[in-house]
Amino acid sequence: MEFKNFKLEIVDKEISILSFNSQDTNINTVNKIAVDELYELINLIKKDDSIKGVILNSLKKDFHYGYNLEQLLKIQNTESLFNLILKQNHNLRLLESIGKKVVSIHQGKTYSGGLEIALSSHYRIASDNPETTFAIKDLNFGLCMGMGGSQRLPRLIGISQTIDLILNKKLLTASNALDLKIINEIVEEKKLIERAKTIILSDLSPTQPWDNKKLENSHLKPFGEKNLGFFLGTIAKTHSIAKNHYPGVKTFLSCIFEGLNTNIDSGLKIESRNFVWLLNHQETRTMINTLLLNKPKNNIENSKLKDFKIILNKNYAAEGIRLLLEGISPALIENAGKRLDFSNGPLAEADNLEIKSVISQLDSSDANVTALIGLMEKKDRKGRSNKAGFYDYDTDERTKLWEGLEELVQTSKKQPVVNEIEKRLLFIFINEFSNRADDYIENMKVEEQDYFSIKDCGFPAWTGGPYSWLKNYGVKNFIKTSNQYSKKLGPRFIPSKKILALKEITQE
Amino acid sequence: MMNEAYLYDALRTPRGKGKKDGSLNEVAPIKLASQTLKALEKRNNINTEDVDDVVLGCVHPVGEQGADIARTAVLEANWHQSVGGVQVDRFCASGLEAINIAAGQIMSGQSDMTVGGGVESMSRVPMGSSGGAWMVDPNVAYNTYFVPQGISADLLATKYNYSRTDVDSYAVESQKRADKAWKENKFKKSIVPVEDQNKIEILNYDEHIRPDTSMQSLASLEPSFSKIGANQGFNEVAILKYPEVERIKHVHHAGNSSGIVDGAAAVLLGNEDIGKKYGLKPRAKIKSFASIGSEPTIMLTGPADSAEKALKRAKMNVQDIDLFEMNEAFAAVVLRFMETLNIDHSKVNVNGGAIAMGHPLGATGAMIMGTILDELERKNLSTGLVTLCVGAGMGTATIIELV
Repeated sequence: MEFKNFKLEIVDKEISILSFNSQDTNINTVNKIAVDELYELINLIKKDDSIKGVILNSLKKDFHYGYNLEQLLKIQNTESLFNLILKQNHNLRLLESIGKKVVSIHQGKTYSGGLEIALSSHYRIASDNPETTFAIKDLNFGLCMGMGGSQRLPRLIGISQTIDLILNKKLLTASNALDLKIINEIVEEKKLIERAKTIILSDLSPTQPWDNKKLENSHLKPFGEKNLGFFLGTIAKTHSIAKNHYPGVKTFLSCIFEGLNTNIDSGLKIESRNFVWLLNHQETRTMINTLLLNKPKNNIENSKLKDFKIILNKNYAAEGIRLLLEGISPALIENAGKRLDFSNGPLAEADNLEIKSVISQLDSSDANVTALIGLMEKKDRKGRSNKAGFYDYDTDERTKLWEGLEELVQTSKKQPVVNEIEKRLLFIFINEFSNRADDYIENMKVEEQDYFSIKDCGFPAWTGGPYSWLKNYGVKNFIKTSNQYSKKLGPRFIPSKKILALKEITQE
Repeated sequence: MMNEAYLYDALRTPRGKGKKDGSLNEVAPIKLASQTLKALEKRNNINTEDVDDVVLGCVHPVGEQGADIARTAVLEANWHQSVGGVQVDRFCASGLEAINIAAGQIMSGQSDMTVGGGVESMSRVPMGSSGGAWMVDPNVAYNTYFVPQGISADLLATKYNYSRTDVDSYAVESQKRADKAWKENKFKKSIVPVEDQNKIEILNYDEHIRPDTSMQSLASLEPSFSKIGANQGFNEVAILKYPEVERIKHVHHAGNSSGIVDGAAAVLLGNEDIGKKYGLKPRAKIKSFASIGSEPTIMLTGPADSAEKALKRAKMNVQDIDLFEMNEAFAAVVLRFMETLNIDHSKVNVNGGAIAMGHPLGATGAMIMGTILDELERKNLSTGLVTLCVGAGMGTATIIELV
């Protein structure tokens, strides 16, 4: 029988080799056809009483990369998507519980869903080739596991180890994976198949630890004494890092928390529902598009990107100083920047760049500007370089906003809501970026410029880049608000030609 | 036509330090609760068959406080089997909530005599024992910006500018007042010493009090929540919710926060007729009560809102209240309460509070109801308001009037 994504061979009568072999591509991924085929294959294996075990193998350089996200994103109907994810999870559940021994052999990369597939085998053997690596880095583009990884991995290696691995997006060598007990052994690459056969013919149990009632472990209960505190701290810590963005982090923790309060089967449903929700989340979709699917093939000269980043940072920092002069409280300005997930608040950025260097961005004829700058200079508060600026410093660490600032600038009694400040910072960054991106990120499509804005220019990843954010926000809306801003705050908000052109393209 | 709910009596155990070396650590919570019920029966000479229901607050109803400790206490106190029992949890206001529910049964005419009270052995069933989705379910904790109560108290102090000196001064005063009240025997009427099965006394005073507390002695204490606030991300979560705050100033510590203690309390309520039957004189009546929800991250601003709601229901103004009992969960919470409602400290917690004597979670509301009742009678005043701040952003308040 012919399959588009697999090859099934029977060797040594009792052993079959099921190889991933996605056609027309050099990597193995799971698409809709692969899900259907796997279902068929597992049922063939199940029915054949002579087969004692299955070796999961790859005919490509790498083991497997998980779902084909480009295809998944095209599925419009949420229920169809959910049914597909459920079916794939059902496949893997079937594979691990039909009483046949499953041994996976790994060379090259075993990434994301690829590793999740491997977790449904009963024994995992890795090649000693240094290019053999394991990783689940889906959170890089806002996604988390969807083939049972959030349920099997903690049940295999522990809750805190799983969370550490996923949140820190760790890349594991074979020996790292062995230390973590994600794989069972490492052998020479050419001996992988032989070793797998030997294991199948050994007394390996075709039962997963999570199906062994005797092995039920209290240390896997989220409400166990140790885990309770761990969850408490991990939630706050991740929340403080993710701010109000990156729903993948919360979703991942939820899968573990809710799933480990019950059994594997309910856990898999919990994960599937979360995965579908996350895949339909605008932030996730836009991050997958920008960071994965539209990733530029060519690179841009590093020095150009660095120059551009400084320009953008100065522009961002200057807006912070303007807000300060308008009477906005410094805490609110800084928190607005941090909530957007810029690496620094605007005033901290001004300190980093040297306050003086930001001034050039401001209107020097404005008496308030000159007064503030004059006073900062008089007090010898230059910025990070002399450990005194808008912030106080202890050696090289920012400690707190300088208290003297309150005397220099009159803070208004009535403060705006923080979202208003966030919006202004986003608008000023995006407009400046679109005004100048073609000079620094040359000969690239807007989607590719989006990628560099995140990777090299400090623009927050959740936006998917300035242009992606614009499209989600509505270009027409952006232009309307920008025109209001420019009337009130100055010509720097007049929408760039590029954005006006974008309006034509998106046909809004 | 609504019935009046009268308070006929109020009793409590002394409060034992809520640690393994606390005097009540050896006493199971069921004993604390059942002894208090027995004392109430004995002092008022009631036939328990006439009691319709016993409502007890308990914040961690698990383990030996689990499986409806109120009904278990009824049975263990050897009350008539016809008496029902229900355990309620409104976090720190559970004891007051129990009284409100017990009163509600009478006011609505569905019961003639009820008991409202509470019990908590914090030394045996520690805080956090009952888990909860609020703080550890990732979705819920993210969506509600959960931070531990101590961080909320420090956030409140930061936002409303209460300095370390402000909160420490309040704490010193609480200790002074509690010490003076004990020396003048002001709690004697309501305290039932805890005894063993041989009638040997185990504890007869609030052992958490530190009369020698001074500004100097408090100054040496490290803030309790600065480490977890900084290291575990709670400060930043609080600031995500309150972006006007640059950084949380940690001012609360063991000396200006409520003490962890063990104890139980019970209040006897009834309608007019049941009092007549036993020749009991009503001591006070319930004027109104209210619970509210408030913003859950800062969590502890509910008392003022609940007090205002209860005042409105009673058609009263804050000036109409002679004395207040506001649970001293954290010093800043009381300071905020007094500032919001413009109440002078001379009317609030006149005999000290939980900073000195401790806060046995589920029991506290019923304990301070007894405290205010005794004090109103002693001073020959008329109206009292009891309120507590409550976890997850709530507040509960009850107004009583002497009759």
